[in-house]
Amino acid sequence: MSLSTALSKMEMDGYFKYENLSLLCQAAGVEEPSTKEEAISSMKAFYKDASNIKSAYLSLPPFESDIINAHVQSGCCIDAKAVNALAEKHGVKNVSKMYFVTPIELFFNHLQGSALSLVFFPYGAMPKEIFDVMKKITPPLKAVFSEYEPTSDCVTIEREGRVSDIAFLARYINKTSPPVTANGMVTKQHALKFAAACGYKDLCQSGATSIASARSTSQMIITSSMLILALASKLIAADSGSAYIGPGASKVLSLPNAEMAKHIFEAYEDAASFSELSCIKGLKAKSKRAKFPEARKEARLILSNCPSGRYIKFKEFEEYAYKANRMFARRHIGAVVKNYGYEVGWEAFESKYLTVYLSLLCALGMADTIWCTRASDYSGESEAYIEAFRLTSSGAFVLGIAGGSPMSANEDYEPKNGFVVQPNFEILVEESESRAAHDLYFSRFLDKIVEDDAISAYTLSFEGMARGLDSGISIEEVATYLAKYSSKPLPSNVSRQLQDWSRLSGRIAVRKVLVIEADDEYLLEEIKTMKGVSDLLGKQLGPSCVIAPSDVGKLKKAIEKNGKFCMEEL
Amino acid sequence: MSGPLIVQGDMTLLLEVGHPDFETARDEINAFSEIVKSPEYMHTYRMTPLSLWNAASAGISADGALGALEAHAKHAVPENVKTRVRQIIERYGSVEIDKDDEGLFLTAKDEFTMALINADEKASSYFLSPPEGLKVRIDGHYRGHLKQALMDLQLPAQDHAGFGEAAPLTIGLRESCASSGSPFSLRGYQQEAVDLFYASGKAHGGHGVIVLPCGAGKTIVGMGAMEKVSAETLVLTTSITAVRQWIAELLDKTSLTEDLIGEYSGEIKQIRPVTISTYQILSHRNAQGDNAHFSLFDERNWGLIIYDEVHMLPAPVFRMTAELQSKRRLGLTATLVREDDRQSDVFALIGPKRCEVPWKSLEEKGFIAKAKCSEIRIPLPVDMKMAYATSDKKDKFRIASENPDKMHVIKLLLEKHKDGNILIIGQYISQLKAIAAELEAPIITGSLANKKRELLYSSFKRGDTPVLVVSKVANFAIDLPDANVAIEVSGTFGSRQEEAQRLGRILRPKEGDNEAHFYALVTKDSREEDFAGNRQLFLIEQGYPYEILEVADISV
Repeated sequence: MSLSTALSKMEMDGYFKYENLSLLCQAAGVEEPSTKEEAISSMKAFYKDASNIKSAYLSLPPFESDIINAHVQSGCCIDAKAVNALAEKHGVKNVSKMYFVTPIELFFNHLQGSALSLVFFPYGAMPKEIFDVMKKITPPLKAVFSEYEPTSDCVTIEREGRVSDIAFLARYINKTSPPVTANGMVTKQHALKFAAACGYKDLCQSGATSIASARSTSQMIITSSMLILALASKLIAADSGSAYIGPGASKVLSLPNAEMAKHIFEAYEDAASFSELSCIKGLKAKSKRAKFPEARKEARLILSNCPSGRYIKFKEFEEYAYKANRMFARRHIGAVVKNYGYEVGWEAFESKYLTVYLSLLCALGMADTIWCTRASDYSGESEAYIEAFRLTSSGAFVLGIAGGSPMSANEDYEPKNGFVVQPNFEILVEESESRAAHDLYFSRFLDKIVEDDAISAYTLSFEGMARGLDSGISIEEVATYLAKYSSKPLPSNVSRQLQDWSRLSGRIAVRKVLVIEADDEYLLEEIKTMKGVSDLLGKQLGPSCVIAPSDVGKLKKAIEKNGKFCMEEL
Repeated sequence: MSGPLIVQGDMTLLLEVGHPDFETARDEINAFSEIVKSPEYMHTYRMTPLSLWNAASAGISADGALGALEAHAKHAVPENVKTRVRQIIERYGSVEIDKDDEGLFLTAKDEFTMALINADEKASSYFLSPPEGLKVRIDGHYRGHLKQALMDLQLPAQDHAGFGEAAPLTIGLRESCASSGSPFSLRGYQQEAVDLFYASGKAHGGHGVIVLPCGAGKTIVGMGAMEKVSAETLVLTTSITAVRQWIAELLDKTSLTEDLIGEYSGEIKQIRPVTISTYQILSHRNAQGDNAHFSLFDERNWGLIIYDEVHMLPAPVFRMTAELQSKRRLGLTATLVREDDRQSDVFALIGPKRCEVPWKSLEEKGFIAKAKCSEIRIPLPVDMKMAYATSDKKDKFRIASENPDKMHVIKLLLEKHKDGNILIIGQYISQLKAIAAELEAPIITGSLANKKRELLYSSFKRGDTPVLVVSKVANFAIDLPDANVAIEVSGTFGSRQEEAQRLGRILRPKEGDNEAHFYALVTKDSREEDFAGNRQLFLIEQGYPYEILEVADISV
């Protein structure tokens, strides 16, 4: 509510203190006006001068000052628990027996007649104009976290620098086009295969450390998080029952690790169609207009006040989040309900939301997490929960905590020279920041002969080039790519071969045309000489044969088997 | 880590040629791995049990090999590689064969190894008695067979049993060549190879393989070994032409006289203190299916058997060699790779690799010529295109191979290399005859009598015949020291050795710029290009620079 609206809603002698414009004027030390209009005008003038608000704040007794601080620090979301806790701290007793009151009403009930704080809550709430002033005056909420010692019965997942697993995931999907379930997750069989090939640590939502025991991919915490991030950043896409490489893959995979993490994180943050609630069993947003990206930005702000490089207890973080901005998600997502329809509170919603959020960050290498197991409050089944976490240096970089990484984001980033083209037509792609991008490009059409931690090798062959042509990659494009990114000069024989292939690639084509047919060549010649006809005729079909439409594929294969490129231009 | 070497989990090694530490790394890894391919930028090596056992036999430990890998690696050496290298190298020396007054005996390093051998039906069949602890008496006649059986168990034996008494023969190396009078001595690497083989006459030496590239003087290393051993010697080689070449070389560079050297071939059956024969005649079976010429091995008390081009050693000779373990044995080859993958038999029966010199280092030092390979693509004449288009695959290849426009290019190349000694090599006799007639050059084909061939070779050597047209008979072991240009007008992609041998004809060092040129004439956009592609790949992987030219690119 804006200040003007609040003031206009107040009465000169309202029933409650915070509805009483006369009392507000008194609290502000403004001369009591005779009309409501004058009172509003006087108060607007009062609020316009920030020093008046500051003076009012400085003159508050300690209890009220603490309440104002807590309210501002929480983003105007102080709750009754906090009000009562502060009242108890200051020995203030609530004499009123009113129930179902707002936290601010509760606060005024505690005040027992004092009205100084009324200045900050005209019509029972702190208007944005006052909040903006107060934010500058009140001390920020201190994020204080105790030292955390990991316990042996918990599972630690440390993933600093493992964003490349997501690049590997994209390559895997590119190679296998695995089937996906309705929620875009690859099938469990593929997820297990990929996780085994990649060799990272994961655990089930049940807390089991062997992901083979997961009922589905969604239950594999890190794997499913990687898939969510890859989908959100368009690194991969899922459609018609299978996953494939996404339109943004080339760009993302060409980025250095820290930049890749940043890009994926930002893409996730902006993904309007993804809901963290889909990762929490039984929850859904009541509103169809839930703004998930906004909630993520608020969560990011909360997290950016945490220290990096050391483990902090999730419980303490959660308490901090509650104090700092307990409405961070609810404000944008709206009410969240359980399957059977009742609205859930912080424990079931925001706390779980933060767990999902940290799991995603962990998958990205932005956070390391320590997981323990407990029995679920609802089902009694075993469930994993985050006991503690720490922001990694790349996490700090992305969240802007550590002052940024030496590598700066660059929209026009291009792969660096990262491979060698040998005269024997082998392409060796060495481990480097650009490896994933080059691998992705070559794997679209070339045969991979070696894949090792340190190197991938491909063979440039006729068959590979034919595949490239089929998928719309011209031989000229390949030649340009090789010349541009090869660390060593392109061998002359390879370059010559590419020129030859390029020359030969357009010579045979199967294409759809309309023909005018004549019984014999004389008749055709006669038609050609007819007035007004010659202009309408295209090239006379020379070396061409009619083929059955069903034989196109067979014909193309047969021609290519004989060492000639054949383009399908249908 | 910023070395030139990438160690892969599958035991292959990739070595970056342009790296400043390339040469050091190459020389070190060459001792325990074998080169697979060496194209321009990155060379591929592979560590195999044999390459590691060869290294172990040369005294390289697992720590030494792994130390070299780690010193030159760009990334961390995979753990599985470390484990495997250790396991393999430690197997070498787990079994030893020795001799005492009672005869030969085998010693295993532990009970487990002895149990393993004893449990093997084949290996234990050569025992004379049950094992006593870690020691067992073995039948000396089957020393080679036992070593083969042990190889099958992945237990390479160290053979310290030594050699029997042989008929002595004084063989000296001349200080100057008898034919030309030019000074003669072993080059440093040749002397080193001889010394490593002979090992000062100790029992652990005297058997093994020397790997030298074509043109590096393997025959001369053989002669050096003969001088050291100074005993009657049997030399086995690949063809009658090679037999005569050996004889000519021995007469030219050693103190041996004609009466001491015998040729044992299909044409002549001389058995003298030094006898040169072919694998072919030794493998020959008579009507009863017996190897009638195996008796050659027993005709004299040979002190040394030299296996020239040991990678060509045929199976029957392997069998015979298994029974010749008390003779000194020297294998000479340009490559340990065998088409039949029987490298382990070479290791067990001839011996481990004693020395290998990379051809690149010899080229750098000028000991072999720098070869430039070019493929020239020649369009098919327009009037032949329809015939080509309507032919089947086989005929297409033939039409393309015999493209008449190649003649024009041959003439251009002859003009370009007018002072050169030029070999024109081809597959089709009719084509070669036409070329020979057009150029008025002599031609050597399989049907030409050996004597006439020798005359033509001599004339070519003297420079009286600058251009010689040859069919594939010239592929093996002819020595044409002054050939500096080879023009291949037609050919099939045969075995890997055949291609290497063909190029080998021009690799011997040249006076002046020490360059040799290998041209392959190929019909453009034809099936011949596919075969040329295979050849291109092979030569590139051998490390030769290879360029593709159009006719217009030839500058005269």
